[in-house]
Amino acid sequence: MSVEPAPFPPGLLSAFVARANPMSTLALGASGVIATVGGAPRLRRRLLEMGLVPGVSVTLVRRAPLGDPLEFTVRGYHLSLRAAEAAVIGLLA
Amino acid sequence: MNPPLVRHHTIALAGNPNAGKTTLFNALTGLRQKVANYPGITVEKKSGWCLLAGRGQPDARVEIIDLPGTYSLVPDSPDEAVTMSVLRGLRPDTPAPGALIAVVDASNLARNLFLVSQLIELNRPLLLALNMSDIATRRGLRVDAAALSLELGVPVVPVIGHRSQGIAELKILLADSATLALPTPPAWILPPAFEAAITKVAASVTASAISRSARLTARRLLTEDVTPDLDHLRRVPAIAAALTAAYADLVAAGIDAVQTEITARYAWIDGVIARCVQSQPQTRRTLSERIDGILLHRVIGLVIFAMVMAALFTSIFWLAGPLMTALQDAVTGLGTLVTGRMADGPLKALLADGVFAGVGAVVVFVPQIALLFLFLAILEDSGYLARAAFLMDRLLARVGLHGKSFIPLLSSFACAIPGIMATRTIDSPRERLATILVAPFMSCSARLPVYGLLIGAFFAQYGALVKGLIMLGCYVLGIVAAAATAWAFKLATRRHGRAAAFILELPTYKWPQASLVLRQVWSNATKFLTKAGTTIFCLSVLLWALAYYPRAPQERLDAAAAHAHTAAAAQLIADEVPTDREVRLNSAGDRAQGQEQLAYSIAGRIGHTIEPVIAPLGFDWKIGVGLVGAFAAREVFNSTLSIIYALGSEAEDVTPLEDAIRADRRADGTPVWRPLVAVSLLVWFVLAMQCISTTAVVRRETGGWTWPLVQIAFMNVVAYIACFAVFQLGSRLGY
Repeated sequence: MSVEPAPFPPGLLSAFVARANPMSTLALGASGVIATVGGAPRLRRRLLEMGLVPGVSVTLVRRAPLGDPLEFTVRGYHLSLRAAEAAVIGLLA
Repeated sequence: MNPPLVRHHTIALAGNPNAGKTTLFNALTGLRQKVANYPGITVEKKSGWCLLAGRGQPDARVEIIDLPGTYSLVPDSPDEAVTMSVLRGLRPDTPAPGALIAVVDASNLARNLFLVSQLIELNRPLLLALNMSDIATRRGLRVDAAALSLELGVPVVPVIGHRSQGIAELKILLADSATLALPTPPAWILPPAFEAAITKVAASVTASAISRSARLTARRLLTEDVTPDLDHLRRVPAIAAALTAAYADLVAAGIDAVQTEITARYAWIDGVIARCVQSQPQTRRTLSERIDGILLHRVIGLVIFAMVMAALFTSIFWLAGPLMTALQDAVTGLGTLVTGRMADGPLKALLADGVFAGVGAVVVFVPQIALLFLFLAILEDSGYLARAAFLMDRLLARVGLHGKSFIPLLSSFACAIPGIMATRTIDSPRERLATILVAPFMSCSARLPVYGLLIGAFFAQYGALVKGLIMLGCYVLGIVAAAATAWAFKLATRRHGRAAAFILELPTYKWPQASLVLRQVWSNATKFLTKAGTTIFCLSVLLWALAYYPRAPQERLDAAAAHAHTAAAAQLIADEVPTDREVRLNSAGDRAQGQEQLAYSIAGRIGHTIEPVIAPLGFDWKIGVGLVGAFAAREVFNSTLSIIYALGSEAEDVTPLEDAIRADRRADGTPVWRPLVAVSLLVWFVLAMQCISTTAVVRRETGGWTWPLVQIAFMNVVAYIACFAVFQLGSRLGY
């Protein structure tokens, strides 16, 4: 039996969520600071573990030639995510 | 005699992917390593011996286990699950490690230290190998190893794996690792409400005073969803109740346990890095970034990618060709040498057509496998494989595959066997399985002779362009079938959770290491020979027996030979001339005997038996025999038909076979082969799963018979329906 991790509490950080922009909408070469990390529990945990925690700065380096996935730099390394996955991360407005 | 084993000393190497773990493993163990599989799964188990010279124990050695790279101890893939279970001592087949070496990429310290923060909590002696400081220095990062050691409370050894720097120091520490103090887990700062929730759960876990380990257990219960070592606790009613209450408290306090815990670790890591790393801001982009500017460029990047893939494909398709022929010839030559002096009979036939042909069927794949893995290892070790996945993911994601599916599928155009073996680079199990399932739809090189024969025989009146288009159509049909199957698989498995995410690190480029690359090639070639090779060999011998037994009575053979003799004699008189009359007559007799024997054999009878089933597809029993033979390898279809049409299987030129099948008539005088039959047969060869060698490899790679059987059933049903539709519709339309 496995217990679901605690659900993301409603209300918490809602002030940020309301203003947050999805990381997938960053302009090319632009940076942003992570405010919220959402998504399904597995995906969410892995994104956090990879260092994408609130307060961290991310930069969109490029899009793949076919438009997706995206390449970001975070904490000094290069990470590729599909736009759909990057969209669960909200940046501070 | 082996040197004595230091007591309790199994040492596990753990680290992030791309941290240089394997290089360090090779530096520590040299050639004293073995690669096996964890039972039931396809994750590799690599272990080796490390000799510890000096320290008054010149003979001492320790066993080192190289674990799959992982980002976290909460696993996200079967590979990571193995790492977690070995490190926690949960695998009955692997001893719990006595000490750990954490391999850490100094140029990417923050994310690497996340795993270290979990390793510290395992309560085992821990050493930290600080790798790639050369790259860090070039990036203007200076990591103070001594300060890091103080911060983490574990010994830190700077190493440069590929130059074997720091290995001696590491070995000295390894010799003493049993006596190392256990690391003290640092206290991450968690919100008071979180600490209170932990206390609540910890109190239910332990009856006595709440210890540090009880708090750790409580925190893991609250934050981790994959905890096989703690699942028995979750079943204790008191603990389950405490967990539910604690969750309610956390929600009330507005705390998300997972995010808060991971963020707290990173907050601690940021502090450690601030105290231990001096960084000079870099104005220039790194070399790796400048290379990516070209290799991931939207135009140049795709052109280079196409060129790299063309080189890869050509090498496994064309370069391997002569090697394959040479190996095949060598085995056949050896067979002739062995059986040359033997009297005709079952033993000779078994050796020549069963055993040596079986060995040939196995070794013939080795050049392709070796070349593909040579390329793959170079691409992976240099860092380009991740870029290839980045470039191609969009295309493949639409049908539920992964960017990393591209190379396995491309390779499958040469041969599905190396292609399926190459799916090991795909770390998400579902995408890997989908890639394995659709790979045989790619038209492999063994189908080419069959396509050539059928197109040559039935579309001879058309120009090269039409013939080329038909050939292209076969390839396109295979690709469409693969895409449709992958998409259907995606839909079918959607209910079992979401598709795996594409979270892919693009590592710093580096020069591939020759030793690492060659080890990869060697280990894959030997693994194929020992594991899949035995199955392929046995099945090849079985197929030989099907075509050899039961033996036709001598009278039948004699009658067939006499008949052929007469017919050939009449033919020769009509044509007048030749001087080698006797030779020609005798070989006509021999071929007729071969034809009679094959028709009489189990394979021939299967051909007759399945005729009612395959008749709606337009196939007669002779084609049926050919299809049975094609299970050994698809191109065997041509040689089986050659025997069936009494042309002798050694016919180099396919023209006589093309003529023979065109001339073949049913009892009522209608031709057996019409262009529609050829089209139906082409569709069959594109879609049907009829390669036992591939099945043997799929069984090995998926760890059981379920998926290969599903694949055979699915592909052959699809092929049957498609051929049925083609032939029946075509017949109605008057073709």
